[in-house]
Amino acid sequence: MNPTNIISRDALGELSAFFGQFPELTDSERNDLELGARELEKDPDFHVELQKAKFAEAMLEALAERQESKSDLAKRWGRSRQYVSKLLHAERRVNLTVKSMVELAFQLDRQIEIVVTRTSSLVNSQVTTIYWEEARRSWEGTNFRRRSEIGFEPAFEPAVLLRPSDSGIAKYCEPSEQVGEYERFAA
Amino acid sequence: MTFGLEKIPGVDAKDETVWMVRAMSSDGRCPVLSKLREWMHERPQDYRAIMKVLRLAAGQKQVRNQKHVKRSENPADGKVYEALAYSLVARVMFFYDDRRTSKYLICVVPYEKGRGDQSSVFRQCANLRDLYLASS
Repeated sequence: MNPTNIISRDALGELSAFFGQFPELTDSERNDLELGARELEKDPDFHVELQKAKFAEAMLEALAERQESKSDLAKRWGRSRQYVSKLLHAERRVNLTVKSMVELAFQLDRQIEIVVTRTSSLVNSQVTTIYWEEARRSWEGTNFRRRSEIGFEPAFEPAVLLRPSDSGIAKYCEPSEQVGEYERFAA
Repeated sequence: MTFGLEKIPGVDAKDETVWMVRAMSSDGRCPVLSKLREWMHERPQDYRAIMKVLRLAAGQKQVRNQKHVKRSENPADGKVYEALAYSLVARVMFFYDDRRTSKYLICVVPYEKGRGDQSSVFRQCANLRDLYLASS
């Protein structure tokens, strides 16, 4: 590849200079980043903000699917536009409660499932929530199904398998080992 | 220039249900990881906010909340985006690569609001995207 066929020589020079500003990260600096990330993972306040943001995204997607404006939703729901907007953008000042989340979700033809995972689990609670029903249906008459077979293509390999079990407890398994489990509660 | 993709500590398979989030490096230098480490120590609120957005974006086909992700307003840049630490200064410019089964969200250029010209940073991101896509 000749880069100057894609961008100008000047732009290429700028990009080289840009990377040149940053020294190579040492092993100790990489470890430092890993440690910082682990600290963040242990911080419940961080997870509060992340889950609020995920909830808001799911609601914005539902709103877009309905091709409805925030004003129309507010009117239909009997709430102020400001309140709806704050919920949909997960503003810090809005205290999202299970009640407000469930009510908003219902207005947008969605349901809330609270999924509790072990902190060490590799399971993504949002995925399990969204795909729970598809997964449940796919379990009927079979023991294992790949996520891709139920309409979800994982971005990572190896494909994680869904395994059904008794009493509403489902287990996620990699081909040869269990990597986590969760229980399902109706909100 | 040769490019590499580096994992971002704290963003893992649990989050990456749609996109694998990676930081672009060239000849061992990775501006995004370097800046994240700097923010972690010197602007911890910015670091938290950016990590939140990257983890959020990893699981969304498209982030709709413009508090978190905005597309460049310059049509010439094409599809390049910025992850925002809302109401703070940290930004990370990125693009998506969905040409293969494994889909990537590639973080390219860190930026701090108010320092430098944002539109030129978007342009830089677009140039790096073009080079990356042509070379891989």
